[in-house]
Amino acid sequence: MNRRLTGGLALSVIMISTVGCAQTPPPHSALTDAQARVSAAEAKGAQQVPTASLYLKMAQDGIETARALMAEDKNKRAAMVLQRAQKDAELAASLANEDLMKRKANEQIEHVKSLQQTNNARLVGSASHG
Amino acid sequence: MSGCASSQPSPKFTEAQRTYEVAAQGKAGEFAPDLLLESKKLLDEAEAAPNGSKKQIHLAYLADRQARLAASSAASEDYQNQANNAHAKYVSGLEQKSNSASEQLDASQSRLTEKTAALSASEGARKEAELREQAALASLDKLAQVKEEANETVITLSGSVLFETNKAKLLPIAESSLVKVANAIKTMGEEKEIVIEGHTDDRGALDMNKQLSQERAESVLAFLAGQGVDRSRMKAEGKGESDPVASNDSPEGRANNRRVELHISGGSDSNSAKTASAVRTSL
Repeated sequence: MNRRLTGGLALSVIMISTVGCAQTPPPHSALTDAQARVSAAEAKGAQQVPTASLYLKMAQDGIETARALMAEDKNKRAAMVLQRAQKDAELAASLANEDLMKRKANEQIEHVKSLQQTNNARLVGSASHG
Repeated sequence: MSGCASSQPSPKFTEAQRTYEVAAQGKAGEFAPDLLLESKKLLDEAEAAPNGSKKQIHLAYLADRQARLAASSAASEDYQNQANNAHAKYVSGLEQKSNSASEQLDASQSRLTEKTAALSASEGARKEAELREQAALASLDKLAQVKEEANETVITLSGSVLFETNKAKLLPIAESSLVKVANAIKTMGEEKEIVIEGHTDDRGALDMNKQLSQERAESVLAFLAGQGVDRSRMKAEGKGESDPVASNDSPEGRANNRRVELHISGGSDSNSAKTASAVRTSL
């Protein structure tokens, strides 16, 4: 009886000890994902777009912070920081893309204006010749 | 633990709410509804989290970025649409330009066709005139006879081809033949003398025929002088009906008698055959 009790107690102690020592695993996957998103934002030229570069910098800083936290086994907090860094990098890429789309739209609009001016000039020219 | 919770939501949450509202009032609802909905979910989770808690702050942060992402994505979509519309207008403008150029080209081609047709008609008329002239010259050549006699060369031109009936004014067509005669004379020596004789048939009064033949001879002389033949070398004589070459009893005979003869003689080159040959070549 005592032996059985002793064994059960020992098991309980081991289980409690295991749960108590359970730690969040290092968020390697989240780190890799955040790095990939930062690279994607850089590829879109986020550094050159003021609004985008701000969020890119925050993402890069977040990754560095997360690395430091992971080094201290503060993985749960690192995972949260990486989650924010992912969003910042994603937003930086989106703002860079927005800037590109804006410039393309303006170019097209300028082309149209230029063409319309040319056509109008031709019409005026042909009207005066006719 | 609950005692540490604030009664007010985190400023980050309030900021995220404002960001979401701005995005929702913009074009994100139209162009990026999924991203906006994701932001709303995060915002709701943040709202459900204890006020001021790290979880609320964290979720509010994510909700804020998600709302900004929705707004940015919608703006990109909007710019893309603007670019597409502008491109469509540009293509349409190019087509308009092309059509305008095509119309101008058509008009130019039409004008060119008209001008070509007019030129062709003009060319046809010119060729026709040339043919008429050639035919007339051919008939003149038949009527311009060149004879070599002992000391002179005689060129005989039919009066009916040179003049209208009872008139002394040269016909335009006769002038072409006389130009050749003038050129032939000019190739001869400067010392040659030319007597231009006018002849008529025997119809009409004697005096009238004499006067008409004189005037006709003078017309020929004046024309040749105008072509550069020295006037001092020429003399006009109206012979009237006095020197017929054929019978006046028939129309053909009378036609042969109505004539102008150029008698070319004198000078160092007395070889009339040579002179006649030169005249034939010119004619």
